Amino acid sequence: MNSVAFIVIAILTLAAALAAATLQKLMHAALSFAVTFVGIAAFFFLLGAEFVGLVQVFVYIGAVAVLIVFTILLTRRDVEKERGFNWSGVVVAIAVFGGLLK
Amino acid sequence: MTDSLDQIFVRGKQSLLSSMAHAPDWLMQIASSLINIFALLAVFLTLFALMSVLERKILGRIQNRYGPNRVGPFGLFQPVADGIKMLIKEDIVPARADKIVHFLAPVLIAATAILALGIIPYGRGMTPFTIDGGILFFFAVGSTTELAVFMAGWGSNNKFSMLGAMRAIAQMISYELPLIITVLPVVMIAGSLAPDTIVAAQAGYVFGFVPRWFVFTPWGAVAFILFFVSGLVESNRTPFDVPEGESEIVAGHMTEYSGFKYATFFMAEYIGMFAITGLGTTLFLGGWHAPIRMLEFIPSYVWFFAKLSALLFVYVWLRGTLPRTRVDQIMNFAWKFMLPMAFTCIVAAAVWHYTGRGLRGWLWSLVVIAIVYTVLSALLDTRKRFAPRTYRFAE
Repeated sequence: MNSVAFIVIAILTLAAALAAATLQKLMHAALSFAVTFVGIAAFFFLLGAEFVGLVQVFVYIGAVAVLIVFTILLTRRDVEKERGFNWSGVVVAIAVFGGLLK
Repeated sequence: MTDSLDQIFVRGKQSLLSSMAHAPDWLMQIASSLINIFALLAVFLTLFALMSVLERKILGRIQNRYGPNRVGPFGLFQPVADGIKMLIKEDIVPARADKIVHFLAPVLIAATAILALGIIPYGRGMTPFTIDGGILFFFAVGSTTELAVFMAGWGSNNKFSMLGAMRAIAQMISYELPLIITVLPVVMIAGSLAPDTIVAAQAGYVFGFVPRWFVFTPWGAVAFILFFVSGLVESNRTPFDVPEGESEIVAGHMTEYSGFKYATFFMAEYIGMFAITGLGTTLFLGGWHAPIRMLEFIPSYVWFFAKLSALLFVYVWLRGTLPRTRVDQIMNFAWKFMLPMAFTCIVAAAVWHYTGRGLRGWLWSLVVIAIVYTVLSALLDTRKRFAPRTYRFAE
């Protein structure tokens, strides 16, 4: 039961994270980022750490995601026009992931 | 006899579950949750329908008219007519709107509003979703509403929607702070984040007749008033409904919604109102406890819903009485008055606890609150003093 839940949540979280990194519209990316936070909170719940999971939802969706979204709202409209693929970001992500695996 | 009436719903659920006793454990858990969810939805959607007609009737009486009285006896079937009307209305989506976000916003806002209802103890042993951090769950889910409001405003691609969403988020973030901080003293005194424990901490009577509810302590009374006002703002109710001020920005973030999507927003607003008044009842008004020992034979859920209805009536009463405030007034009030008073409640609760929770503690915490209140209101007083009027004439 738990491993099934783990796989489902993992797929959803990773898909949302990938969407946040690749979606063309900045707003969609921010919203899928919020879905990623929900997925991480679900992991905490799965591990039995209810309090941490709730704080994750509370802080990251209630504050961080709203802050990001508010920032997008207050910036100019043409920001969302072009959003090329960020190769330097990929390099940094791979480096961090490699550091974590080590 | 009284006990069986009190536990009738709990027993009913148990007998329903025992009919499928041979099912595996996980199936039983799912069935148990489903029963809770269906009960919750049935009760609160009925209450929503009732509330929508009663609110219009009470508002009518306040304004010296009858209110809805055409459909059914006393106009009680008005919500049915409203529902049919909303369902057969054309569902318009603006051509330039972001279709997915525009569709998801009402779904998310209704889901979060209903989720928040889950942790409230409606009677003795009648909490649908028992969790240790129940209060935290309530606010975690409640903070997601801001995102849904924002999605509605942004997805509509309309400047009025955008402005309305911005106002809504600004005031919700500002008032979330006093709302949560006024809950802290209760959590401190009860020593738990679980709603059941908080209700249990309010059982019994002082001097044999005053119930041990937190609202009867100085810090509790102040915290309850602050909580009530913040709840009013969080549910966008009338003195603070600038996000949908129709004289300024059409209908705020709901401008581009029609038909059943609009009804969903409307429903979410009411359900959010039930949730916040339910939490207020749980935290300050003793939850499902009876006010007098003699009346304890009345089932616990009756007491809970009686207190809930009383608070809801005050909501309607305020809507019929007060005019809409300005945006800057709302913000000033939150940051300059509500927040310092909310912090004072924490200090007053600590003083109450360390001076023995009795009459002495009662007096000392009252002194703390009175000092802060006097200083704060003197500092914030911007009225002009009376003085001989001076005139300036054209030369």
